[in-house]
Amino acid sequence: MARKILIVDDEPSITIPLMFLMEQNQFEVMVVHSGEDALTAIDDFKPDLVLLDVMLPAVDGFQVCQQLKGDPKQKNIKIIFLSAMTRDLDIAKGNTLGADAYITKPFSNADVVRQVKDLLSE
Amino acid sequence: MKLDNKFWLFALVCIGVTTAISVTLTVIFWQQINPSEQQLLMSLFKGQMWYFFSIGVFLMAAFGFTLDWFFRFYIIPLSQLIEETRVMNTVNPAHRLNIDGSRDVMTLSELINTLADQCEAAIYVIDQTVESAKAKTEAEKNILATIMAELTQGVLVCDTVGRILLYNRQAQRVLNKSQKTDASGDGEEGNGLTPDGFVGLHRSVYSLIDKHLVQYALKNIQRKLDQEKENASAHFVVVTSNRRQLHAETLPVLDENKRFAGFALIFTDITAQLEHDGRLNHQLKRMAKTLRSSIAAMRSAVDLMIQFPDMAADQKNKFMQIISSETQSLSRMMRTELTEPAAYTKSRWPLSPILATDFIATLRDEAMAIAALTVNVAECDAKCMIRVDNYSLILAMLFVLEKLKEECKVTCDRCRLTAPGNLVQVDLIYQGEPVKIETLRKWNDQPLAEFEKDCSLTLREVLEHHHAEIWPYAEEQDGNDACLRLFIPMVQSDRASEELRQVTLLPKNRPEFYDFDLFNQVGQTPEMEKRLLGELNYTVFDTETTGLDPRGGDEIISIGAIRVVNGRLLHTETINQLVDPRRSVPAESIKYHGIDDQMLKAKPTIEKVLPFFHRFTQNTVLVAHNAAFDMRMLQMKEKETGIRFVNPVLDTMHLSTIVHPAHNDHTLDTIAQRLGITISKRHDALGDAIATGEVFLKMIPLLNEKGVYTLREALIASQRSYYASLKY
Repeated sequence: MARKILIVDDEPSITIPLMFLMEQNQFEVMVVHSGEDALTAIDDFKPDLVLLDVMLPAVDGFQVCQQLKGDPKQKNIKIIFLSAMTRDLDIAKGNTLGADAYITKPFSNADVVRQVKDLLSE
Repeated sequence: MKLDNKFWLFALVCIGVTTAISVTLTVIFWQQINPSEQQLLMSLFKGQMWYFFSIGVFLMAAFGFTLDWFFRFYIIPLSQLIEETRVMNTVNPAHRLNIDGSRDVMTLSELINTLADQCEAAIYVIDQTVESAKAKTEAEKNILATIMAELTQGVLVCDTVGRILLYNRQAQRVLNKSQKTDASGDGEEGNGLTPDGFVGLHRSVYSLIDKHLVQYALKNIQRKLDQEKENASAHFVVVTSNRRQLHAETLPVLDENKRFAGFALIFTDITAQLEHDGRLNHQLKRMAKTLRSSIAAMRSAVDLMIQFPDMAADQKNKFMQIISSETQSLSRMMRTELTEPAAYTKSRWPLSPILATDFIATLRDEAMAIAALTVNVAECDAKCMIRVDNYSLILAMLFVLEKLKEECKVTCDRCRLTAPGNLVQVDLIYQGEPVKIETLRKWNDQPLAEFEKDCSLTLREVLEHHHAEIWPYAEEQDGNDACLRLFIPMVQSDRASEELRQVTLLPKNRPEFYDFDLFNQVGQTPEMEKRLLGELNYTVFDTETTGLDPRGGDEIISIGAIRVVNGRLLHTETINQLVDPRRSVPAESIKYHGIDDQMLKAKPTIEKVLPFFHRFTQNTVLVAHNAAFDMRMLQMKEKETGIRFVNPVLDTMHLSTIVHPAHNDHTLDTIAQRLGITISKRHDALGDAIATGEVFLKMIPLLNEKGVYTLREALIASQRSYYASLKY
């Protein structure tokens, strides 16, 4: 059974290639474009891993992560931040909230695939 | 005592004494003669009674006329001669005696006038010599005044208790908390006058700036001085009520024994610069995000097209479109964002490097009232440095502790310091749920003023300036423990703090460019009444009104006031405010002061003006001419405005009767003429206040000659004055 990945980013130019990449690697993929939609999708789609952008309209990636990691039922869902925010402070903020990885944009497709596979094989 | 009363007292005493002597002599004579002689005398007296009575009446009339002549030509002229000679001798050397009296008195007057002429000529020569000597000093003073006025920075020099001894206009402009003032900036004719404090000589700097902030800076300076550092300035940022952010550099002023004699504050308005920095940072962040996102999308698409060359045509088209739109987006950014000059200047909100452990220790001490913190230093190099404005960052941390306590109902009991990588982490640990990010963001936009009254920087402003952030820590370590983590960048270099100024030492001889006694003022004592008249600070004021009946509905239409400090009228610290009386001004009043309804249109009402005037008069003695009237006008507004003037009041009209009891006329014009003062704008509130101030200053030495030295003595003497019985 294919593992499920939820891609959350407000920019289609990011989500389209990512979706294609993940599908080519045999993952079942769902794409949403806001933090609010992500929270709904997590309940319905029940992903194994979330590729999460930080700067999202209204509810941002950090808030989505805090909610997920604060919920005992969902805290095991892996979270990888994909963000253009690259300061040490931003990465520390993500890690503090319990994110499993923090990948900065621009990224290499190979790195993303490797991180996803590593986390899902744990 | 009034002259008429004096005459009748004098006449009664003379008649009484004469009658007593006559009766005594008659009784003794009566007892010396034998009964037959007494009988003879009685029969003679009875027979010739009409003659005896006529002689008696004649003698009494002659006595009365002599007495009156003596009083008018000797006693009164001598009294006036003494008073007027005293005026010549003290405040108005140009005054000359012109007294109507006996020939002797008039001769004496002429002699005194001759002496006065000679004395004035001598004084003129001396004055000329002194003037030329002073001219040089004055020129240097003017240079200082010009430099001070032209400085783009505001300067305040204060004594050890925070009283302002020296200031420039720039300081007045940036610190006076009025929302709207005229060009002169001293509160004249403004319509929206609602200041919290004033910049003015002898006013407290703490009415303008949070006392704790200044004291914290002074403590820092003292510590540096104790460590014998050459550079001992301290910096802080203060926010004014209209959200101007001022960088304040504090410099100690030390006496020759290196003890604190006062301090200087140099203010620079950094609002525009901080806004510019903020805009620039925001722009850079936005650009970085766009750049990174675009490159990420293009790179990902290109990699996929390379990796999967046989992908479907429509998929390939999608990727090509992504690459095309992202290159367009990048071109757009190059055209718009990068054309703006992005010269980043270093912020002038200074941050000083300190040991992270010192920061924690200060936090523990300052937080005592909110939470007893146990400090735990882990994974942290003892020499780990951070760059902070200690006061504002501590204030921010206290704000967060307070919020945890008030809103989250948890008390932080532990503080942990760690420093993995390039960030220093200060954890505030408590038992409870992690704080929600949205709650933190709400706190971020709140002013720290909620906690510390006079500082209204927001939590976000402080944190952003430190490139720091407070963030919830979700990892559960010990059961229900949660924490808030302050991230702050670690200092990478050992660069010393940017302190360029040398400590200012007062030379043994005072600088030549000013001669006022800056650092030796008597401290403010609560027992104001015991202080000498020459030492006190005064607000001399006058009101113009719609009429002369405060109880009958007449209203104030103009208030003029000027401050007197150290025996000087401060022409830069005045109020000249027209007031809308919300009624028409009668024509007979307009003739008097020239203020008509048109001039009062759109002026503030008394409810707005009185609080402003009240604050202006704080810690001063009020002085007015015929103060009973002006005070009654103010008192009539007590209920309406809630403003009560409790300052001691001196009335120049009462004081005039003390120094010139032999004169009957005590109007402002007459007194001014007597003391050699020219009133430039009569029946103008400020003009009259200035004239009253000049009169008052000239009266102080005359009062001293009458044995009136302190405020208390002046108040008691005023109460005795018969003008004090006037009521409105």
